[in-house]
Amino acid sequence: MAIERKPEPKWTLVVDADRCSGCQACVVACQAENNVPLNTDAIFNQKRAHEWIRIERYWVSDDPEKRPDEIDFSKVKAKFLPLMCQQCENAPCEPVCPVYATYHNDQGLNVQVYNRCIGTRYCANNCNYQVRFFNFWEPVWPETLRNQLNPDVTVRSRGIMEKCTFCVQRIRRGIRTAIREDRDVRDGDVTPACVQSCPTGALTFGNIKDEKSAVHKLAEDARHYRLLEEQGTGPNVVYLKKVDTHAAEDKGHE
Amino acid sequence: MRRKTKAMSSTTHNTHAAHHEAEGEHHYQPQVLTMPHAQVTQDILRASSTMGRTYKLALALFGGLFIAGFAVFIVRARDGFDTFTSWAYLMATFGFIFTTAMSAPIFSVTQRMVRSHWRRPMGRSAEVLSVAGIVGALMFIPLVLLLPNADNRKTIWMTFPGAPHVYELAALIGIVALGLAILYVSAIPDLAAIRDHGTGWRKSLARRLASSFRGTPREWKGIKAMLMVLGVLYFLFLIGVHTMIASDFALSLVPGWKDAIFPAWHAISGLQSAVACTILVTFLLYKFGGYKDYISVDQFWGASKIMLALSLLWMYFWLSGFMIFWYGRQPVELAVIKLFFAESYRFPWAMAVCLNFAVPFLLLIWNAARKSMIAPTIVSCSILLGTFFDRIRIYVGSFTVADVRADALHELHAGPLLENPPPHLPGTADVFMILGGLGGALFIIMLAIKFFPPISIWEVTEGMLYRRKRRFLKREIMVMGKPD
Repeated sequence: MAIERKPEPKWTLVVDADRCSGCQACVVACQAENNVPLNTDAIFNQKRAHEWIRIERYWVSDDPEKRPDEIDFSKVKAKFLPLMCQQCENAPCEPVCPVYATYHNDQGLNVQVYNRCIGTRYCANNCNYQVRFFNFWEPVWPETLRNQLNPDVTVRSRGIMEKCTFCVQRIRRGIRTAIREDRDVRDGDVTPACVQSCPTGALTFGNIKDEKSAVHKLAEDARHYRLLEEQGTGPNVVYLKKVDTHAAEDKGHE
Repeated sequence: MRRKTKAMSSTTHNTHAAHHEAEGEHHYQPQVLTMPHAQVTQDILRASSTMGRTYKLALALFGGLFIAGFAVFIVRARDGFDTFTSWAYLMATFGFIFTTAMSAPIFSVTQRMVRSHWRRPMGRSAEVLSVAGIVGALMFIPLVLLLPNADNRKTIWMTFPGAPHVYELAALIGIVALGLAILYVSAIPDLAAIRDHGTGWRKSLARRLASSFRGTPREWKGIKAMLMVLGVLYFLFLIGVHTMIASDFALSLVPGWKDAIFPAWHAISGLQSAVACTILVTFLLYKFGGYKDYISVDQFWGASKIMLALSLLWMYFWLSGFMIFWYGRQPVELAVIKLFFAESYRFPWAMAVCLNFAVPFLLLIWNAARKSMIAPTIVSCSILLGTFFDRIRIYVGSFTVADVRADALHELHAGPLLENPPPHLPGTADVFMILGGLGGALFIIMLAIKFFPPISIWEVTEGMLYRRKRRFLKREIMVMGKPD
C-alpha cells in the first residue's frame, strides 16, 4: 500500500499596509526572539544595523507634482511598509552562494545555514530587498540582557550572513506539536514573533496552500500585491495596499 | 592579398584571424584546421619527440638546480626540524607549486565539462603540469611532519585520530594521483599513436602504457566517462586540499586568526594561477615548441576571459575577508593585519595586489588585449609572480609566528597573537631551496612534455570533425557542429 504523503505547507506572510501604524513593535519582538545583535548609534551611523524586519516610512503629499516649498504639510501623510526577507520562490541570493549556505527548502523558506556561511556576502549583494545583514562584529549584549537570549536560536558569530527566517524555530515547534498530537498543522498554530506582537493585526502568517487559512483568503484580496514582483523573484510575502479614504472618494482605492 | 591568403591556406591549411583582418573583415573567425588527420598526428608526434640543444640545456640547468636545492635541504635537515622558520621558504615554494602547476589540471577538467571547443589544443598543457605534483609531494612530506598533533590546539581537525598528518598526506597524495590519472587517461589514445608511429624508448614505453587501445566505440566511451568521473573527483579534491593546506599551514599556526574566507580565497588563487600556468605553457609551445599550426588566438581569448573573472574574484574574496578584520578591529585582527598586510609582509602583499589583480584587471578589461596572444601571456607571468610573492607572505609569515608563539601549538587556551614578528628574509640556503623546488618542478614538466604530446592529438582531430568553413553570401564563415 502506497503511503500518501501530505503536501508540504507553503509559509506566507501577509502585511496589511492599511493597518500598520509604524509602531515598530514587530522590530523589537523580532530583535528579542531571534537574538539579533543590538544596534548602537555607531553601528547605525555606519549603516550596518541589523533589522531582520524594518519599517520603511514614506511621506506622501496631496499632490506629488508640487515642489517641496509648495507643499501644505498639514496634508502630508505618513505611510509605513514593514520590510523583511521576502522568502522568494526564485531567490536571487541562492544561486550566488559559493558554499550553498543559502537554499530553498521544501516549505518555501529561503534558509540560511550559518555553519556553512563563509561570509562572501554575494547573497546580500544580490538581494533585491536589502534584507540580508552581515555580522561585521562579534555580537555583544549587556550583562542584563544575556539571560534573555532565546535558547532556540543560534547566536551568529562574526563573519556570518543572517536574515529573517519567518521564525523557523516557531514553525518547527508548531510542526512538532502537531505531530505529537497526531494532527495536521492548523491555521494559527505557527505565529512568528512579529505577527504575535503586532497590536493592529497588520501581519498574518500561515500556510497559503490551506484554502481555509487566513493568509489564503487575504492573499486573494483585491488590494494584494508583492514587492518587485516584476523582477521575477516570486516573493512569499503578500502586501495589501493602504486604503486612502480621501482618494477613495474620488478614484477608489489608491 | 586574396591570392596570398589562399596560398597560406594551402600550405598550412590554417585559417587565422590575421588572414581575415588582412581581407578587411572585422568579425573574428575562429581557427578551422583543414589538414588531413594523419598529418596532425605526424606533426604533433614529431614536435613532441624532438629535443633541441636549448631544450637540453634548460633541462640540465633545472636538473642541476634541483640537485643543488636537494643537497641544501639535506644539509639543513641534519640540523633537525625543530623550528618552523628554517623551512618557511620551502613551504612557500611548495605552496607556489601547489597553487600553480599542481592545480592546473582544473582548467582542463572544467573546460572539458562545459564542452568549450576552443580549449582542445591547450587542455593537455594543463594536464601535463600535474607531473609537478611528484616534486610537490616530495617537498610536502618533511613539511607535514613539522606540524604538531592536532590535540590540544585549535585546528580544523578537533579530535580526529592521526590529525593532521594522516589526512594531509592522504589528501595530497590523492590530488597528485588524480592529476596523474587524468593525464594518463586523457593521453591513452595519443600513447596508442606513439605506439603505432613512434620510435625508440617512447614506442616501447607507450606500448606498455597504451596497452591494447584500438579506438573502438566502447573504448572511447570508457575514456570519456573516466575523464568525467576523474574530473569531478579532482574538482572536489582540489578545493578540499586547498582548504586543508591553507588551514593547517597558515590559519592554525597563528593563534587567534579565524577567517572562513581565507581557505576559499586560497582555492580561488589556485584556479587563477592554474589558468595563468596553462596560458604560459601554451604560449611557449606556440613560440618555441613547433605547434604554431595548432594554437591560435582562440585559446588565449577564451582563457583570458576566465582569467579576468578569476582576477576579479581573487580581489573580491580577499576584500570580503579583509573587511571583517577592518571593521572588527579586535586586537588579534589588528595584529594579523599588521603581520600580513601593513607592516611585516607589506611588500609581498603590495606586489600580490599589483600583479594578481591590478595588472590583470587593467590589461584584460580591454577586448583587444584579451583577443591577443601577448597580453594574456604577460598577465599570466604577472599572476604567477604575484602568487609567488603571496605564498611567501602567507606561509613565511605564518611559520615565523609559529616559532614566536610556539605555546599556541600545544595549548588550547593560549592567548591570541598581539604582536607580530619582524619579516623573515631568505638566506642563501633558502634561495637554493626555492630554486631547487622550482627547478625540480620545471625539470619534470619538461621531461613529461617530451613524452606526453603537449597538444592532444585526439582532441584536436575530434575538434576538426566539428568545424567546417562554408561560404555565406560574400564571406567565409565557420560552421560548428555540436553533436553532444
